[in-house]
Amino acid sequence: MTATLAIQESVCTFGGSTTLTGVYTPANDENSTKPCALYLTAGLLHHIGPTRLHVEMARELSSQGVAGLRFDLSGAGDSETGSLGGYFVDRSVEEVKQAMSYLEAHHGHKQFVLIGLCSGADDALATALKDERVAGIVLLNGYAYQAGQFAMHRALSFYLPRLFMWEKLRNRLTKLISKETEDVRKNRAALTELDDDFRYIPPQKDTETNLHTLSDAKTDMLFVYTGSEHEDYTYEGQRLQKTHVSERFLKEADHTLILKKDRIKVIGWVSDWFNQSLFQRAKP
Amino acid sequence: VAAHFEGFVSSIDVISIRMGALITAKTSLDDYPINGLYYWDPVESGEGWLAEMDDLHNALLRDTFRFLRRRKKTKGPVSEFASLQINSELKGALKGERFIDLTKSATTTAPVHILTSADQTASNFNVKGADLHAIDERNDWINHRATTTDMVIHKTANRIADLLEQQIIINDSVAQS
Repeated sequence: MTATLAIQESVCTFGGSTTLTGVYTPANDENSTKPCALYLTAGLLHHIGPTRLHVEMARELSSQGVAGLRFDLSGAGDSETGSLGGYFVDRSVEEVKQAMSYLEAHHGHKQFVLIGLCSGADDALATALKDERVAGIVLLNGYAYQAGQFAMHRALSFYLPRLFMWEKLRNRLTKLISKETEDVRKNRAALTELDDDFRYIPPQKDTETNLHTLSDAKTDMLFVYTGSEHEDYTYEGQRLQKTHVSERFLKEADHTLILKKDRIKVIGWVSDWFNQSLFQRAKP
Repeated sequence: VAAHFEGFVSSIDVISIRMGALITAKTSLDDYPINGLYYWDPVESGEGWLAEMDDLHNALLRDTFRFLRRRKKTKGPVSEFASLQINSELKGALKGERFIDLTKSATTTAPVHILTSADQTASNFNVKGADLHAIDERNDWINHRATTTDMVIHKTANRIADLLEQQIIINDSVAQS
């Protein structure tokens, strides 16, 4: 899979009181009726996405008739710093809606698929709940909960192989024997605090309710998890909610898909999902 | 440069970081109206930078051991360095470049500013005619576990902004006289 850049991408600015900046990639087929993809800011990374994931995905999907906009939320990349205050997610939802309005007014798109990794996935889910123009969401390492047969798969695929790996055993023994210094303990505590502060994970029940709402509204959803999420996700099929939901697991990959072959695989899955989905929500 | 040819700007200041500095130093800018060159923490050599990127990529791969098994490097003519892909031809070309040699042989008459850490300025970037600025913050460009707090680089950005402002004042006074 190598997308050749035969299409003309363009830089655009939009938004209300805060100017947001993005790059629009048109579909290679101007008669395509597929929803337009929006690539949402992941953490504090700018619109190219982690390890250029958004660029590679936008160009590959474009070659298959999917237009896309990768843009920066306020305060990230080329966009201005926002002055709306309030919670991050509320501001993000507002800005994603502005991006959709821009695409509707300037490029004629009526339906959208929101694609996001980590906090971008959280923003995609939150926006889909508040805007009917969202026909689908692709959540890369979105919320995960220790549901279904999580514990069994954790034991079989995570702990059991470790019993037969000398390096893992040695590391574990070393940790048990050596006393953790005060500095190490403080650093660990600070990192945990930072992590907790950065990403709010809602209770499982709330997420389930939200997914049912989206499912009832015929919103197509693709969840992709990587092995980095092993503390909460251990096997494909762990998501209990099934209607309108597809699920893929790339066990060997890290959180931001640092290796090209991982990105190729995930982009392939997203591409297949685009081709298979009906996108019935908000169909004109 | 494109903006200059389109007529949007009459002069250009070039601010380049790390490998960008090496590329700028390698580029002939004689035909352009350059006000000043600002090299921010330039890499000393293409070979050194490739080694750093290789270390970074290896560290990223080692990190995957946490999930179970360590990922392996992809073999082939294109090398992957923490999401950058570089073919063997480009790699070969980069290997031979040294920032100090390129800067010394440059023919530009525009003021040159090099901003890097205090321990680097005197020893590695002593270029005749260039202003050396020691900066007391340094982004950890090659730590794969670097967090946002490791990347607070606003002091250097402000320093460059001050230098640009000073250059504008100098240019204005020259134009008036």
